[in-house]
Amino acid sequence: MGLPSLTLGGLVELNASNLPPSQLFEVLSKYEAEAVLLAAGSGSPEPSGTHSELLSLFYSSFFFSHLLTQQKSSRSEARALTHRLPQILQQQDPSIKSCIALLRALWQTDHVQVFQLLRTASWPEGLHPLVQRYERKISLQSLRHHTSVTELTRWIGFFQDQSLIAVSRSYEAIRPEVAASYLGLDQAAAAQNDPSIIQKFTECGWRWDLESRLLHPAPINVPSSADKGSTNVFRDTMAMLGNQGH
Amino acid sequence: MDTLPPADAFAPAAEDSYLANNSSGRPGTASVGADGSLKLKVDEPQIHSEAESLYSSFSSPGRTRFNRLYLIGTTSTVLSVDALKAAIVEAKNGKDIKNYERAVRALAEVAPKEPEASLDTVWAQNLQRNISAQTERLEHELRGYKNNLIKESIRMGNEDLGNHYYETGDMVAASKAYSRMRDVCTTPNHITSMIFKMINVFIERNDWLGVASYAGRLRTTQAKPEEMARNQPKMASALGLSQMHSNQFFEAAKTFLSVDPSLADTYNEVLTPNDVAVYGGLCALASMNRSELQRLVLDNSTFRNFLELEPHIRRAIAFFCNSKFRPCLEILEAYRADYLLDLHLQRHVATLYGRIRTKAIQQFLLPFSSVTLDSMAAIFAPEVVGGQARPTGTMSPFVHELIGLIKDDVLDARIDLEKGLLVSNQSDLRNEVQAEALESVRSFNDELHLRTLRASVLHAGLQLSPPDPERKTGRGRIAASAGKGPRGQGLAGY
Amino acid sequence: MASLNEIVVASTEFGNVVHPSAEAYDRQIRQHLSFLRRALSNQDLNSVLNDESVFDKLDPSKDSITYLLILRHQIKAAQEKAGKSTPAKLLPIGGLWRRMAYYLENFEPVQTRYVGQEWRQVVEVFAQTAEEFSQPILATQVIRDAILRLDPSSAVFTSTHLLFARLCLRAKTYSCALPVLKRPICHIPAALNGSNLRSAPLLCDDHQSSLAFLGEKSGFSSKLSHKEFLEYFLYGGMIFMAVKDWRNASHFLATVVSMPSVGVISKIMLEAYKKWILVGLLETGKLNTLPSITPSHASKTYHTLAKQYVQLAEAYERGDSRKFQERFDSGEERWKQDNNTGLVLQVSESLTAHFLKRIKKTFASLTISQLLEQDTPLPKDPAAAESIIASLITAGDLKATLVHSSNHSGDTMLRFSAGSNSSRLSHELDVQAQLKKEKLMLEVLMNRIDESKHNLALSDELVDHLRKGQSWTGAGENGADKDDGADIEEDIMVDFA
Repeated sequence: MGLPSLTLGGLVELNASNLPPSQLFEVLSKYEAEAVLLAAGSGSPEPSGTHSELLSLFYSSFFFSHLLTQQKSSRSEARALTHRLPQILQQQDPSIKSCIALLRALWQTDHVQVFQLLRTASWPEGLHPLVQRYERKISLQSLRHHTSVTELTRWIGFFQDQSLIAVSRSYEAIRPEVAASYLGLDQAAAAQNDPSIIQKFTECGWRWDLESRLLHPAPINVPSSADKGSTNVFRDTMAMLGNQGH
Repeated sequence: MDTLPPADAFAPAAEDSYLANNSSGRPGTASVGADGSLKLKVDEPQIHSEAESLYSSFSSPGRTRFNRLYLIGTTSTVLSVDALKAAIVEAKNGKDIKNYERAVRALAEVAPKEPEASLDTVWAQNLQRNISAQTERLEHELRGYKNNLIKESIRMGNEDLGNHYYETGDMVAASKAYSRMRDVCTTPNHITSMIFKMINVFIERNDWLGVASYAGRLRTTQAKPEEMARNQPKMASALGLSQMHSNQFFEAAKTFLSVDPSLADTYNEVLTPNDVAVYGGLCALASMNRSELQRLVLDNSTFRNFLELEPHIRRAIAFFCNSKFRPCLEILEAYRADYLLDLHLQRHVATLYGRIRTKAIQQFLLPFSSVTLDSMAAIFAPEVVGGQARPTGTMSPFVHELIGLIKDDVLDARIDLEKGLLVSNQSDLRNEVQAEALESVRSFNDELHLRTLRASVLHAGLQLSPPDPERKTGRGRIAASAGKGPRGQGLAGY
Repeated sequence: MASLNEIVVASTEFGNVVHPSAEAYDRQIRQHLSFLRRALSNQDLNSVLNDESVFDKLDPSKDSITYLLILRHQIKAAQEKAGKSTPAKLLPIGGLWRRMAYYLENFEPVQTRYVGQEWRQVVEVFAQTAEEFSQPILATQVIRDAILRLDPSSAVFTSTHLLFARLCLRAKTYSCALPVLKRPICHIPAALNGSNLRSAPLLCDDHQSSLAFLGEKSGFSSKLSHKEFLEYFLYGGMIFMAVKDWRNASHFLATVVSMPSVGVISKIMLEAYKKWILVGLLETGKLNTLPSITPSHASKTYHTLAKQYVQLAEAYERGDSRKFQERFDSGEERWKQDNNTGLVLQVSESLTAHFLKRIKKTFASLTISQLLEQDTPLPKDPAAAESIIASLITAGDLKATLVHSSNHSGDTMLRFSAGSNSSRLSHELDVQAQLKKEKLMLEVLMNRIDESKHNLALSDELVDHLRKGQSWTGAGENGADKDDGADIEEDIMVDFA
């Protein structure tokens, strides 16, 4: 049926492959049925230990691929996933438990907790590429190179970048320690106006006001996928209504 | 026989309504007494008329004069004793024992030691006997006229009887007697006279729909044009009054504006030319924009005759037209106490003043895209500016008022507390049009889809109907769905 | 007397045939079909046909008919042998399971139009087996793709749609359902006499409307009643609720609520009405008005029987957080009984955003502590209030900006400004993208209505049916389902509170 069967090695390779999030999601979702069958323990009498490691990595990877796609409903979907995966994993697997904790922190927009989980939870080795992609450690510097918006759109989907964009649009002036909490930077150092932290922000075009000791973010706007050739949609649609409507 | 009538029957319906909107006014000028009746505490210099002058301005004695005096006597603390004494004199000259008793009781409350404060029971008993005798005599005479079948006599007999009941305060009997005149009226003049009698009764009963309907009948009496013209001022005054009491201020203004100056003193039993000027002017201020006020009020040559009697109303309107809102509101404020003592105006002062104030704020904002709250407060809440630590803070009454006006969609503006501004909403037309377009296409699509599905459902015969109609004999749909659970009424099963 | 070999040869021949015209193809398919039916009724072949290896010799993408008929045959045999509808042979990993999946993933849609009933039976067995195995998720994607393969427009309602929606709810695979749910259903196969169709269309022809081959006689749907129709749209609404697509959820529920009816309403409609009110609050912040086509007796019944919901919505709409809390608390039993607690909780959580959107109409800017002087659902602690507001803004639920004061202990300013030019541009592009989507939808609907016009032009039958509808008695009354989706609901809606 065209799909190589689900193996640990295959998964590790897939996670490291840097596939675009939507493709990664597609591929992984095709394996869900197989994972279900493995979990149900039908057929081959392999040692269950191999299974649980494979399943843990599969579901963790699938979970992260949800977050990476950044669809509007991806969090609800990720949540649905945590509900339908095997009970034993939900209760006992550390990686899956961290996924669930991470989701809760995201839901509550608890940035500090999100960063802490991403950085310190014990993720399986094979998952690291996805965790790092999602957290995206060195993004601040790279952002200032992405002057064109189209280039920028490729980068969203990463928690830190997302946070940077959100904060830049939400605050006109912000205390450094609050900004640091959004981006998972050292809050104590930021409160002391540590130059290396302030610099991270100024490199993104933010203005540092020495006197008021506030950062003034430069708003980053990311257009939706709408292409610009659609300015006539409005007129066309109205015309259609006029002709056909009553 | 001697028992006093129960609680004041004349007090306006909504007592607290004229206290409600007093935010910019002088706190403490009015308070509600322990018995729930209104007490006004008015400083002497702020009153522009005294009991004596009020008394004399209603030259025709009668029920209206009593009502006005009684109202002043029961609402103003300063004028109370004088007004009530005058009211007692007025009542003793009349034939309404209940009115007399009411006035005495009111006086006994404020000044129990005054000699007039105790009931003159001898007088009252004599009057009662006289009234009974008179009633009997008039009824007897009327029966005689009826036996003789002389129309004119029957009409006059009914009129006499009606007048008698009116004077003694029996409005139900009065209106019955007057309405019996209708069939025996032989000339338009008779009809006109009967109608005005009826209007007086309706006014006395606060039946403003009745007033409006009888005022309307005056137009259809087939009287001669000159006759009609002679009746116009009274008719319009009565109609204006009824419209004002029905809160139709714009209509009332237009009606009062049309009253012919020949009204003069011809209708003093109801209202005076001064009343027309005040009522008409205030209703106009409350309901018209600046250009309407200029065109329909200030430039109106007939109404000018009335306005000359009350020059401050004319000045207030002129200030409003020139966008000088503070002096306009100050004039009105200065007369608030007077108007609260007015028989017809009392219950509308709060509403009228509130509307004038709101309209002033709206007109003031019109030319600006943003105005500082401080400059607005200086005009619309000078006492607050002087007397409050944060005249334009969120909790200040003025800002509260603005918030209320914005929430009620009266003002299309937003408050910028950071800069202390009131900012007009500049609509982002482009965005708005697009958002509206999106919404309309969406709801069109939704509706279209629902209707398509509906047609398909009907086509496929899937619509719900009561199951098994054959068995549905008399017990209706409940029978059809019985046994489907306790809440099964009207519900078909799954 | 055909042998297995003959069947295989015939199948290969049929698969390779080139059909010059629709008429010729139609004839060939029908011949092939009758040949197979005759062959399969031959008892002698049974043993051979029950051998799974026969499938290795057949290619469903070329000849779907042979594969399907033999598959159906073997399933039936297995069921009869085991004496139950889901014998072990059918269970996942079992051979027949894989054959079913393979068939559903690879069938040829045009040929399949001729074997609708068998196709539906396989889908049903497939779904039933997955459920029996407690893993409905194994069937959702396959069935979704099969539905869309058969009819890419998914415009005709069939019993398979309902089966699919229910399966997705049970499997919690909500986004899997969306491609089907988002294609607007416009037709319901009508129980018309075949003879009344003026010219029976060739099933294999190119058709503008899938109604041509998914009609009542096609067998693709079991007998439909109002129950199936209502359930599908209720379940669909619930799936949209699970992914927080309030707009579509509201539309699906509105379909149920406005169902044509005479004198009665169904429990499903009442249930949908309650959800519809709550979803409306989440979508627009308002107590929406019922669709204009809602029967008036239905509106009245809803209003009386769902009073607590209406009152809750009224308090919400006014932004009266105290009254809302009061009604929220007093209705606790009701929400629980109706399995709406999770949804009501979400409404309650959205009150803050709703309140701030209203405040925005009055103030252009104010500090957090000035905001807290108003009657708000926010916590009284400015720092806590600020963090809630900040998360609403960063999540894009509220258009505003925050400004920290230079005095570090000072008050944070909340500005509801028009926004920068670039943010307005991006907003505009967003609106245009949505407009474009709606325009496409409009085009789709217009086309479907043209089809309906053609279809509904048979006005005599329509009138007939309207009349018959009066005496129609609900089918499926007895088939009360053990699962009405209600138990699933709570699970969907409860957030991390």
